[in-house]
Amino acid sequence: MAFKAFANDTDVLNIQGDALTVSNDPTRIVVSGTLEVTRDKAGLKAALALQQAVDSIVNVLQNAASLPEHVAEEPPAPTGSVKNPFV
Amino acid sequence: MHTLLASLLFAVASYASAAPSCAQFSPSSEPPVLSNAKLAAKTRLLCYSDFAVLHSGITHGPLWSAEHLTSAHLRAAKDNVRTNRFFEDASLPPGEGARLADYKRSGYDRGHMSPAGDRWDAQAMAESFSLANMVPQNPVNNRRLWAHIEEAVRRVASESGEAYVVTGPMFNGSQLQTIGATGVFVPTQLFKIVYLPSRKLTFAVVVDNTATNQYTVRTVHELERASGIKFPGIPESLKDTRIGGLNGV
Repeated sequence: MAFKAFANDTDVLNIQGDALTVSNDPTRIVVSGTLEVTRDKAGLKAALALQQAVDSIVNVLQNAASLPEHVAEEPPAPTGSVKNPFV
Repeated sequence: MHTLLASLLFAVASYASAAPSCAQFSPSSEPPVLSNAKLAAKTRLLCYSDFAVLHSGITHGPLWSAEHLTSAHLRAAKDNVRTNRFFEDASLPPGEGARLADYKRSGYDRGHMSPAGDRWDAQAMAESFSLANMVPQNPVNNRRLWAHIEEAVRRVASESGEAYVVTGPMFNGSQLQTIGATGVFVPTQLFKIVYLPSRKLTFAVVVDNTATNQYTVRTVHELERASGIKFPGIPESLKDTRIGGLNGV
């Protein structure tokens, strides 16, 4: 399954387990971690996965009809509070 | 109608006989036990292929998530490259599990308890994205400190041959924060408890669910008292050992 940039907020591309993760979102994709790319087949597999994700991100951004300078900050959702039932 | 009933009965029977296999993720096949009886309301044991979760319909998330790591499985996990998807667990009755919408703009990450990076095959990795294995976690904590702790546990488990690990949230204080329409409880702390049978060593680490870079080392007895959860599969004689820190293990 290829990583489709900005398509949803549920997909996460895992490269080498949790070493590098690319978390999808309609407005802000998060790339997190440290990836060691070795000069072997495992390294190529990791690099290709990262390339596919970055290509998808760049493709969406470059083909956007009107890209704002900075995306608007969304207001946070309201949080709630409960009495701790476990104490 | 009879056929339907028969197949339902068969489904129930096979579920019941399949349930105990969950214990394979705990030492001596003894899963964690809730010593704080208040935690036990609306709990359900969820067995996944590579880890097990005790889910709470009160907190709308896991109370503990147990896994058994081996060096061979961790080597396989390191090669895993795949696109996963967070999902709502369909086996939970409506209202008990968290919804994807609960986390939207909540300010919290969907923080794995048993990590995706420990899962040794595609099915197990996909399953680890169940919201039943997630708690609302401070994003900075999740991406830095917690990621380092998970990596340290993988290293220690690999070097030791195998490890039993339990990860879970803690809920301290008189008031708790919730997110989303479901009211998913935000933990005040997270714990990880590690047992290395080959080295007769067990320890726990606790972190505040904030943008911190510090963890606290606890003995397993201390963690049992603080969490309201006991770990009967770990020998009592090892539960007072205090490690210096994750780097020294």
